Amino acid sequence: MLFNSYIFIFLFLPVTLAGFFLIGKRQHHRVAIAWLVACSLFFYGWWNPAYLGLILVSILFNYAIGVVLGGQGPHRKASLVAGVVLNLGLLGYFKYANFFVDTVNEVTGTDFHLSVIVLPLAISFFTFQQIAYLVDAWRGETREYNFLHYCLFVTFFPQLIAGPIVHHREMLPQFARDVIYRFSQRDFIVGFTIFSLGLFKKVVLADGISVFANPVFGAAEAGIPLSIIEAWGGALAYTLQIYFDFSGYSDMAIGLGRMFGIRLPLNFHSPLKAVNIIEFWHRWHMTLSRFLRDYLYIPLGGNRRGPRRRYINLMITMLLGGLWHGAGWTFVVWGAAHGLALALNHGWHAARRAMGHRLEQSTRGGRLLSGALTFVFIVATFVVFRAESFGGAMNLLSAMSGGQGVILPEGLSGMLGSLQPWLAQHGVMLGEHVPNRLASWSDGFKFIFMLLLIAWAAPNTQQIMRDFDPAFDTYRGAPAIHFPAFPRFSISPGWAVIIALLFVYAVGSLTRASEFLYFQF
Amino acid sequence: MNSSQEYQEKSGETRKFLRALILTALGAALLVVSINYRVDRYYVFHAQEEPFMEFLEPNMRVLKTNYLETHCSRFDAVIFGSSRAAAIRTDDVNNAFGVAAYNFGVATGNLPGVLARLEWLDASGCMPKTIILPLSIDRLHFTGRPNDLLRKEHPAIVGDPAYAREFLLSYLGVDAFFSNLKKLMDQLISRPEPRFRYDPRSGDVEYLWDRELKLEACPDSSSRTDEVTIGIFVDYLQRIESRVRESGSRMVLLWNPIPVGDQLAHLDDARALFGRLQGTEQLIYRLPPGDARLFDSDQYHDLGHYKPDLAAAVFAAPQNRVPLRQLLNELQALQNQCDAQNDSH
Repeated sequence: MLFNSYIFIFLFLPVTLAGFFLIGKRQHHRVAIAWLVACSLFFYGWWNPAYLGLILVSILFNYAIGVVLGGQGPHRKASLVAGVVLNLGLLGYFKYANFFVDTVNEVTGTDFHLSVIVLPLAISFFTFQQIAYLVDAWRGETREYNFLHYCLFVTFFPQLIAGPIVHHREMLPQFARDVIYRFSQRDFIVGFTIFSLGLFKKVVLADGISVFANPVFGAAEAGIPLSIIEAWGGALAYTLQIYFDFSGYSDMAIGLGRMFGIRLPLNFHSPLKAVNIIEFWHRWHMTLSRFLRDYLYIPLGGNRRGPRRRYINLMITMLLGGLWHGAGWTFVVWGAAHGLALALNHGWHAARRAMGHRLEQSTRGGRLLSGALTFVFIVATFVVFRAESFGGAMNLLSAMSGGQGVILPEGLSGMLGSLQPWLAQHGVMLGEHVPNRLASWSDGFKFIFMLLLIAWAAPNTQQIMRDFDPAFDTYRGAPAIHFPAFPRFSISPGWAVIIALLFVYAVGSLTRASEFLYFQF
Repeated sequence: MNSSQEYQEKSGETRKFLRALILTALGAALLVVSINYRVDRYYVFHAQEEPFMEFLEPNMRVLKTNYLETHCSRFDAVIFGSSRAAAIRTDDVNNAFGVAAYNFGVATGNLPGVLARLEWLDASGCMPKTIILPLSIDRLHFTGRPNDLLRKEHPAIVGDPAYAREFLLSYLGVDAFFSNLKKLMDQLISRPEPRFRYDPRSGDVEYLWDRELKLEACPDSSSRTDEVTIGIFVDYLQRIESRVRESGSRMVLLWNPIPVGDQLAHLDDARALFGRLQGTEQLIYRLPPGDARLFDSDQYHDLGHYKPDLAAAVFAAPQNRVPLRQLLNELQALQNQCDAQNDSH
């Protein structure tokens, strides 16, 4: 079931909310939790009931291992290893088995064949959550948790499908609070507002811009030569699509959680405003970064064993982070590019510190230049991320860099005058600058410009809602940029009208539900 | 619950917020739905049956399917195809073939759409005895389903209950709302001229626009469609043919009389297409490529849309029905002339 579908908004959500609070009001807290688990499983099974068994077995298995790890028995370490290996084995089978076989076939020329394995929804998310739980249980950082609470920690529908990747420390204690079982108008209003902002971002902005991205990537994959205008248009459109899609989804998840009185962790903090790649990863998919940091990078040694080992650890973390997004070499290369950029960025910071520079005292121009470089890097690497093959990615990147010639609009001929022959010598021509007619680029660039303005200059959902503690703050970077001039959300009729109009606009645009991009990861 | 929360809930702020939220949402939704239903720019909710209505933007798929749903027994021939075919006059077809034809040509109509319509007609017990199918050599790549409001397929043809719900909701949604608002503004301020005249009893469409054209006898450049795309096109054509054959009906192919320059620009595609069809002996109605009318801009509304008289000329004479091989040879001969001209220049 999709958050951006009529059945979810007008049937599933009201019934689930009403059931939970009606049961909770009668002080049947265990029944209320059971109801929420049942609804969450129904939500999960709507896609493919066959995989309900898989998630249930995974929950039972991990809870049982957690109980063993939480005790003082002699086989704790062996249980941890078994738990982690089995979780990764399950993920590996469903997500990477075909990828592995294809790669072996390509390298060795063999012809092994596996039947098509359908990737169970959300397996990457619930596997990571439970591995974190097991590791913390082994470290003695978990308390004794109720089984029903544990089930809800894994299956709670707002975060089940595409995160945020929640941590047991921030979720399980909330289920034990009496206050969540009483309907709070305030929490409902805050939750509904965040949900509506997320729905608008997903349905109107992300789906709206996708029509400019998809044909360009399709053409690049088919080997069609692209103009520089089309190539940049498609790449920018996809960058904005994935940002508004995923951050919209995260907003919806956070809003839905809040309707039940549950706070979820922040997952996006205006990542396109980042001025370097380190900051980007503090702002983009923050709960994945947190997981990779706490359960991979730090256990590998983090930065404790010298700079060289730190860079190696960064590369390993980002390579696996890339692979987590999908079973394909394009994802591995995307992760490697980000790992390399992170290593360079840390190296650059170390060098500046060694020269006595204070990093926090950058000039405005320096920040602007750094931000622009970072943005171009993000856009270029998202081309590799989105492309189905290296051929398609290279075709698009080559067109973006002017490698397939630069064709400027004919209207500029008067302005360029005698420069034209010189420009022609260097591959810059005048003519039909969008030869493939893949989209209406006059509309496309207006839309791209508007979305860039929102991404760069507007406050994000958490900043608009900052008086209502919308989410756990997982942000570890520089202080959040505040917008004193921008009105803060308040529980007032004026804001009610704005939110109602955004909600109706988004719901009125749900002519056909599209999937969230991050469902596939 | 902290004191600020309690204060807000007790002071009624949250209640006021919820009241304003619900009232605004309901009011806005009601406004959107009622304007969409009332204005109905694409004539989805208000099928019209008055003769020769004038329209700005009708959804012909909806209007024509609605009509055929209740009147198909009147017809024993159906003209399929795109907006080009929609301008073929049924009277001309009736006279040429001795049938009672309905024009089912729709904007951006393509072969998957023709197949879906044939299946629907067959399932409804309305399979026509004669199917007239015009082919456009410059539209081989049109094999997807158009999904904008103006061209959405009628739910009866798609036959999927989920699509039927989505279809109606899309005409009640926000995109339709802005489109309908534009129509209201047009009615009040700019009052644009109608672009179509439509007769629901025959499906005939008359285009009320003319663009200035300069037709070239020889193409500036040629274009080639990839083999996969041509393969998809051929596959659909063969599925249509076998469907027609199984029903005991006959299929008449027409070669759309687009300007010769455009026909020659797609000569490679024609060669590839005919080569993939079952032998080049298959017959098709065409206007000889040397016919002067194919060079005459007065015969066209715009580059793609020919006028009804030109369409009638295609099937007016029995000798216009030739094997695909002959059509290919005629096109090649013209192309040779163009090449010779280019060489002499």
